[in-house]
Amino acid sequence: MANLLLYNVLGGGGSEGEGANLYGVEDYTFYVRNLLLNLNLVALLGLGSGPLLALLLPLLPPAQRAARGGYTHQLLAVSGMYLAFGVFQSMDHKEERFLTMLYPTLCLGAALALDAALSVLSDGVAAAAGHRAPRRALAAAARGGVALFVALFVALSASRSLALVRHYGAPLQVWSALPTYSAPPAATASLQGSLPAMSACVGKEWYRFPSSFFLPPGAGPLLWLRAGFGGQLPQPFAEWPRGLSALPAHMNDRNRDEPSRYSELDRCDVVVDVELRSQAEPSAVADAATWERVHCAPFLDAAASTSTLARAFYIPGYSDKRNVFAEYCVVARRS
Amino acid sequence: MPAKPQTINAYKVALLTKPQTINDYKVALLKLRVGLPPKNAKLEEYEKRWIEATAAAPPGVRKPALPAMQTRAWWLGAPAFVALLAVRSLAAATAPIMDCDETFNYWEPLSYLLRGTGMQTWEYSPEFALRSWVYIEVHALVLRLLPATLLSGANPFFALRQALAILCALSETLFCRAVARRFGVRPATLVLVFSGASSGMFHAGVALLPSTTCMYCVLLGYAAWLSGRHRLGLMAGCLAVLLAWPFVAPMFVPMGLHALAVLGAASVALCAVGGLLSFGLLPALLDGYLYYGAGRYEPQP
Repeated sequence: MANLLLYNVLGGGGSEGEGANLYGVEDYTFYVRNLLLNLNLVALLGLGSGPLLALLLPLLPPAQRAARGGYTHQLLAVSGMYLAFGVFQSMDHKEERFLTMLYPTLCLGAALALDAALSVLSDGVAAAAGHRAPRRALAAAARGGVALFVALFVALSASRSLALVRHYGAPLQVWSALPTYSAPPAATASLQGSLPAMSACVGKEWYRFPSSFFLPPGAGPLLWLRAGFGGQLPQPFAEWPRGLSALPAHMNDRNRDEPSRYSELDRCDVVVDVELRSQAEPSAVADAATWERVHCAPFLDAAASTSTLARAFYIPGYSDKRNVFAEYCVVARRS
Repeated sequence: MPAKPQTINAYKVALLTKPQTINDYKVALLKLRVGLPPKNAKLEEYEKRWIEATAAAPPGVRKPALPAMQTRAWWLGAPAFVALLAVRSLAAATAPIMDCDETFNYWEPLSYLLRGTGMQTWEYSPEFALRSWVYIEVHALVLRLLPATLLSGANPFFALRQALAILCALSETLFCRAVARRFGVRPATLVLVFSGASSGMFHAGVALLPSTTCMYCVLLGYAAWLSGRHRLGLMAGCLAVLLAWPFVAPMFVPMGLHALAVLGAASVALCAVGGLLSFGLLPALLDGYLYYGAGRYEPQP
């Protein structure tokens, strides 16, 4: 843990002093855009909840304010969110998951702000207006507004979650469908060395590999195929438990390419890949003479799908028309 | 002459039972030794003085940490948990992994602990030792409790995700209940809908990532804090900061300051030391002796 802090804050203690920024730098709108995708309306209201509460709570009768836990308590409960957001916003290296911890407090802030607004509109302002009729109408309108907000939020959120599963759910499905082999298949049996029952390979889709839990029993470690990535890929642990403490060869902390990682295609029994429209080289998936498709699932071809809205949200009738789907496949070598 | 409250209990009664009529207010205000408003004042004026007086309790009398209000909102109990669990469970079965870091820095070391195979990132090289094996082992423990026959193929992956779904739904339920007690049932119900439906929680709620662990700690720590249990809240903060991810610290700064004001510096320092020992020093020692340093007496290859 201390090492983690040293690396990220002091730049790894290495000579180049780059630390976390080795893995990408995003501009200042990244987090706001990201929160809008993940929490849409609640992100907006949640981020504005501090000023909103500071403005609305003094308008409430003291009894109502007390029933809500008091002015300071409400502001205190949302203040941590602002501190954390400020810290992450000031760091150049930004990732979606960094803001996960803010989701509960964004929900809380939005809920408190809506609750206060509802009370101010139905009691506070109405009390000043005096008459009963407009008072009721105002209260009803405020409740209607909140109901609309909640309904819109739920619809947008469901649409986004559905888009995630429908557009990007293929890797989990496809990796779950890897064929099992009982003995080394003929195709690779001629190669030297002690052979596992099978070898699974992945090229440009290396970063969507869900985990080694998905490799069938008896399979060797996942093999990497060279496919345009210039950074450092993981390599198999040494045998248990030596891999915990033994110094692995070919490891650097500067995300430099390690050529020793890659294998040749002829060592592979199965390959997982996707055929995108924009890709320069044909993928193994396309070569039907050598490879047999075992299982395929549709996967969003983001570069070929031009509508941002249709990509980010699943809109029945619209998304499927505007989006281009590629085939995400596991293929097995024909025997 | 109005009788002075003789005991702490008398103060508590005066604090907690809100008067209904002007006459009741007069009695209550006199008991609290607060001046009465002018004769023709309205009920609101009495109410205002009563609230001001009860907010500033006399020194030595601590206001009850928990508002006595018991939430009558039945839906914030088991129904909330079941509904949240249904959504999280669906995510556990279908949500894609959003970040390859989750695979290579968390699922792969877990696979190595359970099956002896997996891919190693440079962060897990003992030379750099950036990640904690203890953090992985805590998750592995859940799977070790299950019978081995259930753990073939990709089952451990989905089983652990379902366990995370249960933990997430439980944390969210406790958070909503604490919000109900502190801020009212209406905001709590809104939080339930917002959190339960949001697409951010859909994928992040079941991720095997320190950032998600931090999110659970925020839910549980804030639930404890809002219920007036500052020490418990601080321990959740220590766990998040020391075992999961240090950058979560700002989320717990307001709670820490509030605890300083309520509990005093000595009590907060004791919490911090306790947290440091159990979530900082202990895991660091285990990591050093059992994992990264396990082979220190063997000749290096």
